[in-house]
Amino acid sequence: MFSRILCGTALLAFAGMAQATISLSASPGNAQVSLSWSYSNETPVTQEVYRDTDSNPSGRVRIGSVSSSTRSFTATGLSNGTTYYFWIKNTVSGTATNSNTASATPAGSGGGGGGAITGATCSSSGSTSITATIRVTSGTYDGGCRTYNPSGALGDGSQEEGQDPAFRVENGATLRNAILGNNGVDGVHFYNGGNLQNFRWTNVGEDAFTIKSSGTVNVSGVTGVNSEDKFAQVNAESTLNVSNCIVDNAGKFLRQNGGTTFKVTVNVDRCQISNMGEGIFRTDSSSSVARLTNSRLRNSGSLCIGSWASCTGSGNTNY
Amino acid sequence: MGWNPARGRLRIGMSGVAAVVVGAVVYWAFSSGPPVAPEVNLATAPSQGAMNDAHAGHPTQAEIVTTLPGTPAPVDPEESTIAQYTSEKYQFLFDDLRYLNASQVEQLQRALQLRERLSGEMNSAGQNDALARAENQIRELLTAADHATYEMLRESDLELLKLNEYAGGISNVAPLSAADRESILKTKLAYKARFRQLLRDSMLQRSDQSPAEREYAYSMTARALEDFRRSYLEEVRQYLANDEQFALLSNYEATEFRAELAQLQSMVDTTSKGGS
Repeated sequence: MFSRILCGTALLAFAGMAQATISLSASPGNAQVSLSWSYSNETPVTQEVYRDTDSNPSGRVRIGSVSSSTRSFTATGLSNGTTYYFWIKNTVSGTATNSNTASATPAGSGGGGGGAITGATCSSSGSTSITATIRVTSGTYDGGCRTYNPSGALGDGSQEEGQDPAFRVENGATLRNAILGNNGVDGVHFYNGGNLQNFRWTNVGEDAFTIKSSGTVNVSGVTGVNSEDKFAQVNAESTLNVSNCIVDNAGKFLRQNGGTTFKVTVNVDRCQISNMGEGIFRTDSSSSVARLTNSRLRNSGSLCIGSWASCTGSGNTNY
Repeated sequence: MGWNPARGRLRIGMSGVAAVVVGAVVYWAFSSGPPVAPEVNLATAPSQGAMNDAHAGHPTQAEIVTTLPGTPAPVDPEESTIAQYTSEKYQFLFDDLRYLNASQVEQLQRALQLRERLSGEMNSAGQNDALARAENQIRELLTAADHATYEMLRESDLELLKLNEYAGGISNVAPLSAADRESILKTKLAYKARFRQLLRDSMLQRSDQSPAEREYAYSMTARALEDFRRSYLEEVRQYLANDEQFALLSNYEATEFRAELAQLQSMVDTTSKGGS
């Protein structure tokens, strides 16, 4: 059967038929993906751009319609660290042609994301008192750049263990656009992966954030100051991608839970790290991996502390 | 995923002789085996593929989505997924369809499922004809008013995705009722339809405009986008009883509309660089 199809295809080509194709390519940026495409043996008429988070086009979402002369599109508002799949669909007189599938993973370390180091860009738009942890278990919680002030019921932001977090992000959900007030309690906890975007810690408490269970955590556009001990704490096997951060005045940038041997993979890209009492990455696990790239450092101590399987830096400068 | 879509399609743009060759070759290639493109049958509404983008990370949806009346029992996980997605996408269409009997409701449901499956397919032979048949059947079953609702919901994938994102994010703080969701979605779709028309009329994406014309088109479109955001939120404000729901919706949409504006700006930038 297949040989007959192949022979048939050859015959069709011989008969002067040309296969209509749309060649699509995607390149990642910071929270966005740039698409460009070209045509072969096809006239563009009605062009639509589709997106999905898997390569199966069923269930894909149309994210734009562009004019017939357009050959590029920038998909924005994407989550760093998530792989997106794209298609261009051209319809001529009711007949549709789809492009190849193009995929890209925006920003994140090694994802090609560039740009300036800004950290969080929120200016406070008001304040909200919270007396219990806000749980974000799916979807996206957008704080609108309000300052969240935890009550003493959650903790006092000291180095005392066992304080509650202000936010708990679970199952790949996203928390974005928020400021944690002067009582930093135990910051943000992640369970089963999650995303943190445009977030500022006014005064880091016990930790800025803690990975409590396995998953992939993407943190981008964050600023945190005055951690007495660690900025980030990792308590479970996981992958942590941090990009565009400003962290000042802490004991360490990241600490894998003391005495643990599980593997942690850490990628930190485009961060400004200053005044670390001890250093940047610390672990006791000989299977963990850390990488710092394209960052600005001042008085940041040792890059690697402990028995990392691999701990490297590239493109970093002192200022 | 269990489904490998055909890539590319043979476009015929040549002589009648070649057309005869095509017919002969296609017949020869497929005459002794099963067809590559599956036979489309409205009565069985085949389905495939996960609707992951619209469902990923939204476990609460299972509680929100109601099964439509007359929905055939799904027989496999893929069919179940597309049936659930269709149910969710068109749930507000089924608010008041008492003029349809049970059999007609089932027909409608199957036609909608088929439509959703075909819209995700890639260039399969017969797709467009089958899609047209499904659209005709839907039109015949619905009144003009309900068909207008259908047409609005048909284009709602992205808005549904965003609604699910927002609703999921606040589900532990200020959960939305089904009525809240319906109000938000329908209001946004109505205002978005107006905006899309304006975007089409603006000729923002045309490459033959001067920089000044393009800048003017962009400024008009950006203003229309802001009007869209403000009008939609002002209307939704009347429907949401909970201030926190509205505040968090405003936060969420402010970010999404900023991204939309950046997208418009990128169109101008791309066009002005000769990227088209």
